[in-house]
Amino acid sequence: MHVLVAEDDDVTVDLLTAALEEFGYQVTVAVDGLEALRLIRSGKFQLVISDWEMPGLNGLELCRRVRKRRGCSYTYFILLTSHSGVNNVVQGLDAGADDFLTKPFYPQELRVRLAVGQRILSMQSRDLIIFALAKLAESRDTETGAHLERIREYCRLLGAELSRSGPYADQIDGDFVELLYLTSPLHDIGKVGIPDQVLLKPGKLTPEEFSIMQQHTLIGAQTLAAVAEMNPQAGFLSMARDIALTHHERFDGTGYPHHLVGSNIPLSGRITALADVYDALTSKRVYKPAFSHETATNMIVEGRGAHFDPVVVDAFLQLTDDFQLIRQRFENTASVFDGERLKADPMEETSLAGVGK
Amino acid sequence: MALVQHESVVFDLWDLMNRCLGKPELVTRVLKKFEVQLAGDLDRISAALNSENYAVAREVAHRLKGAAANVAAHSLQEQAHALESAIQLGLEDQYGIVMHGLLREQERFVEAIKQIQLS
Repeated sequence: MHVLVAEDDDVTVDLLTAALEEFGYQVTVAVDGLEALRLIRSGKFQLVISDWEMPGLNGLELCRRVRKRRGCSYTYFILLTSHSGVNNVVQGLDAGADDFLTKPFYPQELRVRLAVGQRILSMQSRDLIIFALAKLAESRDTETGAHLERIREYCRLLGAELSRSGPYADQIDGDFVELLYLTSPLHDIGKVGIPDQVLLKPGKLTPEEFSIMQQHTLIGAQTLAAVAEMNPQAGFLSMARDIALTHHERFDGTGYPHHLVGSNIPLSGRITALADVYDALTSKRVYKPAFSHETATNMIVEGRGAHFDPVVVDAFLQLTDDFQLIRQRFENTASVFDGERLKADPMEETSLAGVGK
Repeated sequence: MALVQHESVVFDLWDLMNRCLGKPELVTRVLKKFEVQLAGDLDRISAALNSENYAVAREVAHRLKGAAANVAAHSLQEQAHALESAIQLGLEDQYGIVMHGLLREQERFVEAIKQIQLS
């Protein structure tokens, strides 16, 4: 990995470079803040170690300029300083620094601090890759718009509400909610394995075609389970698998693929099921118009205890205004991954059974 | 007002060796570089103080403090810190004394390096 060292002191540069190269980093040195900024703008550096006091542009100002950049990947910024004291730490953090290294520094301390930076950067990469993967799978579906963006927002809202009170409060914490936000977009990833003539069929599916369509839950779950097995440390893959497998299960056992009942359906699946159906109901499809928020809400209430977990429905009813706001926020947001809209005859089916296939 | 409370170790070879990942060639290179840089920095500080360009004097003293810390030249680090603090506090009557201390520590440091090279 590349590291940019912004430092005007030769001796410190020598020591930093030797240590960093020993730890396997490729080092580039900028002798002042302006040169450092120019190099950061090249997009080549995500890890930066910068001296505080430098000619031209000091480390604090460099950090501020880096943080003002938009639309680029995150830069992990370590301030190297012989300044000490709380005020300086506050000033540095306020400028956007992620960490501090004080002179004199020890190579082992440098190594672990950079490891923290790399871990944070890899998490960001992980999140982006997960969403990109979900988008890629969704790109074959032609009528989804910002479906994934909405789904994860709905899921986060429901998760947070359920964590506050009620019977699931002890099962859901902040980590659960964030994982749900991260992995819910993968719910339909198995659709990559569904043939075009079924996935893209504008009309009602035959029983055989519907059976093929149902396979997307198994395909997605098997794929994610295989990856989870290879990477047992990646706990988020387990939740992703659960969601992919169970987001079409119904609370009363009439869903698919395994006809699971009640709490046998993982909570993440029960939450995503409601979010997915609400989004499908309030979105236009070739076979149905977009239903109003009120209609969608009534249909979900009708499904309380049958299609949906009653506790999740109750949480939803506390959040209807928020759902509407999210709906509005993404209303005109077309996904860049969307393909051509298919033209087809509208379908008569408007019941919950046909929603979200 | 005493800006330096006590005399520290002039130079801690093992500390520097630790920072240099146990590589003697890196220790030698860094020490040579620092010795040259130290002489240049002290000249710049003297010139800046003489011309009452205190901002530059403080800036160079600050950089010297960091570099000295990194090569484990502890007494030089403390004297550089003392000068930086004196300038920050505007203690003009202390500049000469502290500068004198810095030059004395330079001599001690150079002597200590020579002893190491001889042994």
